[in-house]
Amino acid sequence: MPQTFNGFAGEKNSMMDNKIIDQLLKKYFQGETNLEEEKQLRQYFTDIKQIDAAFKSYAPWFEYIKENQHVVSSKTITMPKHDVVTIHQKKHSYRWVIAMAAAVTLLLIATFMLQQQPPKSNEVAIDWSKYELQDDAEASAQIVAALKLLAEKLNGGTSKVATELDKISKISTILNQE
Amino acid sequence: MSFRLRDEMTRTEFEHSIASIKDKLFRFALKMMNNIEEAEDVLQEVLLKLWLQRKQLSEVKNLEAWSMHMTKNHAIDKLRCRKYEEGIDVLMALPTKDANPEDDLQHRDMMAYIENIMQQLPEKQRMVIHLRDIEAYSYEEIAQILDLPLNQVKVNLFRARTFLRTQLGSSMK
Repeated sequence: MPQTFNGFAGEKNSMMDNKIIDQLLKKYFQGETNLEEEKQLRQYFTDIKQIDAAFKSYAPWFEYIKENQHVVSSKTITMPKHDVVTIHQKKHSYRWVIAMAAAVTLLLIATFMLQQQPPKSNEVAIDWSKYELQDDAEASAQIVAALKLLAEKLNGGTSKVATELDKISKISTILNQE
Repeated sequence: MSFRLRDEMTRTEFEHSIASIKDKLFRFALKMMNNIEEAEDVLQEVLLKLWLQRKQLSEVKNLEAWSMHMTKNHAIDKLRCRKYEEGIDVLMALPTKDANPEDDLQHRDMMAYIENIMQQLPEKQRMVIHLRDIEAYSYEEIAQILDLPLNQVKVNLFRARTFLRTQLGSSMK
């Protein structure tokens, strides 16, 4: 059964108490004491007037613990009369509602504008087959007419080139004469 | 740990119920901030948060540990914002002794020496040793407050006490 320190009973017990305290201190600095044992150490160092010389160096630490346990806040703290958080949260939720309303309005406007535009997908494709020529003679006449037009245009180009060449030759003649 | 919050609790009831933990929160804030005024600000912020969140917090099992956890976070936030180094202000909060001035001065010097040792400890070690030795919390509660694994709590406590022992030993030489 482990020995415990129960306060000083008399001088004859001091040897035994010192042994217990020594063991407790060793455990304490190894970080192996439990809360009850730490309480015993505090009692020894703060309640006893004649601390054994072997332990005197530790006394200020236990004195420091005792004093610190009595440190209190002198400030009077009162809670606000109004629940600030509730107001704060309400503010936030109000903002959130406005943001949501604005988003929905924009969405509605966009939808409305899209609906106003004529649907491009409904355009009917041109059926070119009905313009196709069925009669061979008419097709032949059209081809001849087209070729004739082409020949006229080509001839126009040739005559224009001939005219320009004629001008160049006249200029070269004048230049040679000089 | 009897500190509880209820949905329907009045302001007076709340102020009455926090009385049991108010000083613990203040001491923890003071240990971290090392400044009375700033520690009181942290306390005010934490208590206000507890009051405003009382409905959500009514289901929290260990509200005292939760409050200490909040205090730690608030103090850390405040420390990050701090642009200057504070002097040792913690000693100002210590109760005065009815001894003669000479003894009192000697005593205060010793307390200043210990406080200086505490301030030399890394933040985690300082928080762990404070919560264990001054507030007498269990390892599990300290782990919860500091959001640390249990073995880390023990390691930090061991290192803090080892450093303390070395410093106390050297002070007697």
